[in-house]
Amino acid sequence: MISPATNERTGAHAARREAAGPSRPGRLLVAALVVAAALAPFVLNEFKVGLIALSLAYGLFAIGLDLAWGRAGIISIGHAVFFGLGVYGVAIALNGGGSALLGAAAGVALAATLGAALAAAGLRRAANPSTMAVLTLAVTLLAEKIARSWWSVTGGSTGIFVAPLASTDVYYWFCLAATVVVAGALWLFALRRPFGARLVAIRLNSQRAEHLGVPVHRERVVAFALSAALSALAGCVAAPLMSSVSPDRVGVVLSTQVLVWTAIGGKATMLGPILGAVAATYGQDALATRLGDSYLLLLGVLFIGSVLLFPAGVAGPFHSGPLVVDSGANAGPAPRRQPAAGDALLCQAIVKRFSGNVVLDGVDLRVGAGEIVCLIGPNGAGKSTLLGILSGAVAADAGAVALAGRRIEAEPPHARVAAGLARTFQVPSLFPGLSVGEHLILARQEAGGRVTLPEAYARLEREQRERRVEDLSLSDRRSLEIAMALCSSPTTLLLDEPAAGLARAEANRLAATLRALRDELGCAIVCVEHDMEIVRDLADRIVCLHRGRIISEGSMDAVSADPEVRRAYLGMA
Amino acid sequence: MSKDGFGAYGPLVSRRGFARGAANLALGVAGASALGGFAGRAQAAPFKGSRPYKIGFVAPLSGPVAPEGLAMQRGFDLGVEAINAVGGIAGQPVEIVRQDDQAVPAVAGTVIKKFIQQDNVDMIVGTITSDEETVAGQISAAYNVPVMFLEAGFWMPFCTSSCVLLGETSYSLLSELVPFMAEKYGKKFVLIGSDFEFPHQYLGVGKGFIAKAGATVTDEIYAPLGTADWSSSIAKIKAAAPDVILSAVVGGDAIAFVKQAKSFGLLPGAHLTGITLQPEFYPPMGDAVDGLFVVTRYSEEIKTAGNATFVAAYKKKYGEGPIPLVGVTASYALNFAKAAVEKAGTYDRKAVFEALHGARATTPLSDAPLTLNASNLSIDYPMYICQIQSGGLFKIVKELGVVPAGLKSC
Repeated sequence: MISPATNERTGAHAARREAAGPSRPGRLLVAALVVAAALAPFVLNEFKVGLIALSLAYGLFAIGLDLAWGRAGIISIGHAVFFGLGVYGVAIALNGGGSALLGAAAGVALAATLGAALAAAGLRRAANPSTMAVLTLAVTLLAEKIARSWWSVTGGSTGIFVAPLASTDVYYWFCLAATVVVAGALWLFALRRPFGARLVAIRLNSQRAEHLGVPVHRERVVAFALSAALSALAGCVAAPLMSSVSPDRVGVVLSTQVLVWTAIGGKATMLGPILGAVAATYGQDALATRLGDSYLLLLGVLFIGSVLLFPAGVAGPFHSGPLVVDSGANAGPAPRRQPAAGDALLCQAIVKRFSGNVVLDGVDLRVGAGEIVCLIGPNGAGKSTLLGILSGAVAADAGAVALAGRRIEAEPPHARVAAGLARTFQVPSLFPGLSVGEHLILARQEAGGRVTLPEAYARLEREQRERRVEDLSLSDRRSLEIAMALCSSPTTLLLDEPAAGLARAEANRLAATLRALRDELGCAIVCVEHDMEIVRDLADRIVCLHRGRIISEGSMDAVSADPEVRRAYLGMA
Repeated sequence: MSKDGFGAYGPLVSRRGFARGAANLALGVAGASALGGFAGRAQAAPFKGSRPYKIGFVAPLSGPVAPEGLAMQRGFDLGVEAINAVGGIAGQPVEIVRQDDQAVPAVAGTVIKKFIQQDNVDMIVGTITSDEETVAGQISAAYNVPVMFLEAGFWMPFCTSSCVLLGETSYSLLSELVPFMAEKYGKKFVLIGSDFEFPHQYLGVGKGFIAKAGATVTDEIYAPLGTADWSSSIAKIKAAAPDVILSAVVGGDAIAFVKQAKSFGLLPGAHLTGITLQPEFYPPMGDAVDGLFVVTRYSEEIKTAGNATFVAAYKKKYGEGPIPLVGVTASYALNFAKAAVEKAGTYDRKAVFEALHGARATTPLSDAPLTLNASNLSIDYPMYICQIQSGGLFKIVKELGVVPAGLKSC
């Protein structure tokens, strides 16, 4: 049985030590920069102090964008619309003699709502990956048009005048404090928490994240809404420094600039977006006389250079350690899931068509508790499609699926994981760049605690914890994927060709391991496999699919003797 | 603020009579004047400054209105050379700091703040579009730094404690032009402009005069600054088949609009007029605008000694070609600054601003000095109806006399 861990916190603590975000030189750099920045009003003139204050607000804006782009992998070409809502919120309130705080609150709330609505629409499963880019671009163009046309509220193309500050120095320190506090809070209370780890997982491999139990759509919507709110907050901070709040503050040029600042500074870092924004804003003024609007061209060249030559950006080298942090919140034992009492898995009358071609044509499949069923059939029989429908990766056109008696056909994949279903893929689906240990941190986080893995998988963690998945053998990658699936103590495990590409000895070991696994955990296994030797070793029952229908099922001997199977699958008379 | 009539302008009683009288007065004064260089005659300067007089020059030297910004810079540089050649301001040379605002209001705001907070300028001169001018005016007013605007047609939607308007107003540009065009070509007008404050205001004033002339507006089109494709706007104009097209498309957009109007067969043939037709745009626009009429306050044909000197200096420095109006204005702006500083007897910004009220200075536009109205810091200019000739000359076909700026008093 998978047993709850009694004392496995040591590994979590080790991971936490390593997962400090910025490296030691990076942390020293941050501290030195904050101290130096705090002293700026004593050595710089009022204009330069105001300019740095504005660039800090832009840095906060870039951090907001980075949450969506760098952390959650959502491309936004129109993020200035959120920044602009903050800027205009404060400016309109001040212009009308109202409270700047109320204006700021309205701007932030509106940005968060708009961000959530855009993300909910643009990040749907059926949406194209570029949908968000197009949507955000359209919204920023529309916002700029509205800002230009709604004279009575926005002041049209002239914009709204914001009276100069009583004390630029005091406001500068406020900007510095706001940047440090907001960035620090984001880091401590979101990015170092399970939410941050989920964003890493989603960015690196959203399919695997979903099948690990991460509600991908929800988390991405939350990340984008939070990103929009942060951007609006940055706009609120920037408004008193701008003198004039004009339509270009919600437009596509600023939206592009913030992308460049973030890329050059370093995506998915805390320091990078701020450094990028400060350097670009200060540089723009310093070079303005010589370059004029050609500065935008220079930024474009720097952007391309950064993407091609320094993808980690300026701050990249100062960030080290693992990407995923074990927050320690799930270091306790995972909730135990009892094996199903009746049928582990049941599906009835499953139909699936792709472009009019019937791939599954009324498939019924019953898998008993603790039973190992191997799905066989020639290429194109519909085996992987059936596995996809069972796991929720593919939507069936008709039919029902029940897991331990609970209907799940309408549930998304992450909800099926929560219900006790786990799966692996034909090509191991892992998180590129992450270590074995980080994979298991993610899996345990979604499981809500730790379970003791069977020895074959525990050894993998013990011996190869620090190795990145790219450095693992195929066999170990398959083992890691199964180990991650086992972290949720599933009642049914779906395996798609687990022996593909393995040497004979490795394949035989795999079959033995899987049987031992079933004996130890009591979970049912549905396995698509072509290697008949493995199938013979592994299966309690074999189901043969052909042209989307089950044509035979039973023992290996019975199925292989079935004339229809021999005709269809083995190509024999 | 009014964008569809004369709301910004004061009542004009016997406007034509006033114009004729003012013109006669100007000519009389001119006849009595001794002619000096276009930089102005040095008046008695009891005040001697203790340091160079520092001026911040801001212009859109890049971006969609860069052609006008560069033209402004050319004229301004000539003006600086000329004024320093006659002893500078208060006996001190004029020192210039300059920066491009890219025709972006936010950048203009940053530049103005830099001039004031970092460079400690005594006065600011420049910029083009009303959006940048509004920002510049508001910030400079907050810091009590005088600012001179040089471009045509703009008026601040409020009275400030710092702004001086050296360009002509929409009122003075349109009060004679609209009736002239309606009488000559017909009473069906289409209005087209860049989509920002000034074109809306300019065409709004135009609508007032169109209605007054008994004419009608059949369509009104606006396109964002930086528009490259004018095909749909041109198709709408062609569909409307107007007698007159009154255009406030500005900057590089004006060039693109006219060139595409020629490509699509709208020009030559249509009766296009308005501030789109600027001398500096003639080379790229070419024969598409030959024969069209405009109202302006400057032509190389103006027969004054100051203009002869100016034209010679301009062509010597920059070569042959049309002389841009905004360049002309920029060339004499410092004459008013000189007059005000020396009258004030101090560099103190507030005192200089006060001294600008009623300040008089020579310009290439007339032999007599021109005066900044004490009530609203604008100038009533002598104006002309010109016809664009092949080669780019704006040939004077009718002298309108002094046309009032028409602004309300502050």
